[in-house]
Amino acid sequence: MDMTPPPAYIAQADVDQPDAPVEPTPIKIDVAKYIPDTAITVTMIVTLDSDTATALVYAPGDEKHGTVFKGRRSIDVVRLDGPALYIKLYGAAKYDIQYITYRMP
Amino acid sequence: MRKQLLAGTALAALGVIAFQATAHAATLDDVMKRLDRLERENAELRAKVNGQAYMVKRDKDGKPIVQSSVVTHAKPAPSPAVVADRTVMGIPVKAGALGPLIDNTTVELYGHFDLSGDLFNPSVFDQGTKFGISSNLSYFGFRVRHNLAPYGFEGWAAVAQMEAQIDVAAAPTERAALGSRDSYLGLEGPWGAIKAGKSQTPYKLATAAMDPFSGTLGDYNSIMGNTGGDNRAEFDWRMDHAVWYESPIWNGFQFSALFSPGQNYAQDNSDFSFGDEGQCNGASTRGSGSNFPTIALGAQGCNDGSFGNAYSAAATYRNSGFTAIAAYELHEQTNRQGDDGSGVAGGGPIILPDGSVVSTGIHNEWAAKLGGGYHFNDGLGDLQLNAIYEWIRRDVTALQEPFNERSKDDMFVSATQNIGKWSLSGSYTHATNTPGNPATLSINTAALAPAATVQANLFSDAANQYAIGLRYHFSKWASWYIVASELTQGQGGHYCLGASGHGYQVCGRDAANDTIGGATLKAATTGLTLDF
Repeated sequence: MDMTPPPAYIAQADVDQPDAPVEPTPIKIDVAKYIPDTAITVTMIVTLDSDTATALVYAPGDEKHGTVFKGRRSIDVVRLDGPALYIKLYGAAKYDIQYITYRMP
Repeated sequence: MRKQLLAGTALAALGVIAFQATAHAATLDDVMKRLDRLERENAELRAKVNGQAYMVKRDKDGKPIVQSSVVTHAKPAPSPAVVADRTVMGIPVKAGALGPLIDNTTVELYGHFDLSGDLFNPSVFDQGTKFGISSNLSYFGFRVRHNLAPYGFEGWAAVAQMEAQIDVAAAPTERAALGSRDSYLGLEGPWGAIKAGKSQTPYKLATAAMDPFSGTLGDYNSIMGNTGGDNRAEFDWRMDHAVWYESPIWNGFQFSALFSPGQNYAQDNSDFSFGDEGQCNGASTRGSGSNFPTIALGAQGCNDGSFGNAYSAAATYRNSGFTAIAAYELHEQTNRQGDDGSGVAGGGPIILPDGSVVSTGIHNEWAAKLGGGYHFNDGLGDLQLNAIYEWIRRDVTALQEPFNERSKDDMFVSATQNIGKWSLSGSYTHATNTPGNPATLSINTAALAPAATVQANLFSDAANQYAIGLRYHFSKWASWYIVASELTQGQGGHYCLGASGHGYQVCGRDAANDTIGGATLKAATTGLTLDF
């Protein structure tokens, strides 16, 4: 029993949906420079280049509990687990992050 | 024959099902692998097309990662389901069905448990070695954050927090009441945060992370920030009725400042602050200087360090493992009349054995400190080094200096070597001799202790504290530790272990609460911590 779709089917799919949206590529953010490695959360303002855009910021391996930033400029807390965070942009091409503060255990 | 036929049919059917299931699973895996491979190739091709000539890094799930502030896919993806507004009974909510029924609001529940078993010996004639169980700085709380961006205030949020101590081991008192720890309401935005309520001071927070033994019997507050060398670290404080500002982080630099009005009826700050009935300003709840049990308003009962307006400020700079801090705090018109008996109902002059009359009065007290830290990998793992120098002063007159036990310099150094999940730490803290002392202490014998014959200002009260400890991190949120600490002090000293952190303090006191001057304090403690 072979369930592999025939090549023609794949070609047809590509033709029909040439610009199908893809899951955005996670972008790595180095937070270690200004935030202590023992901090457990960081408060940040994320600025996006669209009023309707959204960004998801999360610690490595913790995407399901990431923080959602909506709109052009919003502030929220992101949980830390090491020196890096990842950001995924939905509906935005550029972003900027301003660190407000952090919290120690 | 019929049974054999049925059995054969069943066997054949099971075989077919089993075969199909295996073939089905194998084929789905194949399809998924192919799709995954296509997805990766697609991402790499996209990166090349966009001129990104570097190797595509991948996360642990194999998804490509880029380090850039510009997204590499040509068409922005739409918002995913995870960020879509949800509703409960028609009301839009950010959280799930059990979350808050207010849009753009999040509520976070958090807490910290620290329980230890302690072995300690204060070297006092009638005490010996004792075992204790302690809850150390355990707390829980919740934070509320209401995002104001959808209402036209981009980058702003209203924030609130309620935090309470948990006396996990000790009998709870009002020190573990709701709101007993950092609790506030405020606004947070691009220019930082302004909050009102109660908070640890910027002075305290500036170096809090430099003490690897916080909350244990090796806590640096036995000496650091501790003016009287006793249970209370006045300059490592949580200020009630305060308002404060926290700046954002500018290239690693951050500034914070706090103001707490004295707000009391008395001219000499000897009364409770408005709203703090039964609790003197600057005193530990149910502890040192608290004036518990309550006496009436106007009875001048707050005379053991109660102060008026308080100001605290700190600046920190962090960049790539390097940390530098500077901090300052002022307590205006601190009432120490409990030490000289003046202005105290029913009190009178206190005369020391040499005939001098104690005078401590009401004066400003302030503290300043500079600190630095460096974090780097030395091959074994991450090594953290810290150092602090602190000046604490009580601005008394020259005639009062012989009774001034509040002015001194403190020094602290610590090192923590991380090796895998283990952390090995050591610290040394030193307090210089103070100009004087208003007290008479006791000699460490059963016969002489009740007489309190040691005029403390004739002896040094300089002190040294040593601590060493090992911590195992089960995860970022749970750990086990073991700490040993020793404090030595001159005959005029009465420092304690565990001040302002541990569930109780180990002091040089006998069974009659006589203070033994110069007691050497030793302790070993082991405990578990859990954060959530």
